[in-house]
Amino acid sequence: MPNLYETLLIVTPEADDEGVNAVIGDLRAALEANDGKVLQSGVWQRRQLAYQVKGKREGIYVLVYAEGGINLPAVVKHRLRLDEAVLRHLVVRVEDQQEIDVREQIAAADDPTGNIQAQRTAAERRAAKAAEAAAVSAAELEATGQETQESKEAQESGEAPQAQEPGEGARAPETAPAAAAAAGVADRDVEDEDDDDDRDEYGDEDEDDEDDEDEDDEDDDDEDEDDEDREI
Amino acid sequence: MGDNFSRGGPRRRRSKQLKDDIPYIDYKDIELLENFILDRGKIQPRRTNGNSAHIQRMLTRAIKRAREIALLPYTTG
Repeated sequence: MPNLYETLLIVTPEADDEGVNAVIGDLRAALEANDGKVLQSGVWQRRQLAYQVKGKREGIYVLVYAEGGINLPAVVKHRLRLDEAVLRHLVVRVEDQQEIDVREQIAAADDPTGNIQAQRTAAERRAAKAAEAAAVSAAELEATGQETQESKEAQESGEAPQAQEPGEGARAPETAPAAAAAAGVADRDVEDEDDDDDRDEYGDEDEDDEDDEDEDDEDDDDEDEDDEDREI
Repeated sequence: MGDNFSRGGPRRRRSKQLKDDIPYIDYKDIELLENFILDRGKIQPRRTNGNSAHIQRMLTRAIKRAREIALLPYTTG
């Protein structure tokens, strides 16, 4: 039997049902492309965060159970890190007695995965919107007449399958000084590219959620400097 | 750290002690975990809550996971 993994992620509180579905749909597509299978997915609860994450005090917690091989956590983490609607995520393997319990609960649930079709269309719609936004910003850039070889390369490495920019041949001739002057423009372009669904490495935030566990505190002395006998 | 002689008075044992035979502790079970953190958000030491080493280890792991995903605070105040 493949391993069972539990993913808990926090979606930005501004997201509506469609936004949440888009996140789940994206994740599902990524998993299915990597021999994974989503067993259960849905909103766990909406609640206050214990501390601010990316400036948000509240979040929508989404719980996803999936089974697959040992590459599954890496796939999930990679996918979620690129998703700007996701504030945090945690992937944990469910084992032993807990695995039995969870599988039972999933089997007993009716409609455990929610509306798959809605998730898929929401994800597609979001991707289309992002591609459109990227195309618009590319067109704007074009209009400034400052596009250079450099910024074009930046776009390509973002591997956006967006529409070819109109009037590509009409670009200003690329001279070395112009390229240097437009370095700032190139930077901006890369950031805009982050909206695109198919972007590559650029979207990585530094909020890293290691899910490998810390060492256990068998010796608890480091937790109690000032509270010897305090009651809760 | 790691002294074998006792410091000060008797340790107060707590009523919230967990049974030894529970199979696992879920990091999403915040109501349970909150019983084992102190006002400042620190993990309560085993010597005051009387949990077995096995239980305390599961508890610690669960609390740390809950902290990562903003279910519990790392620190408060």
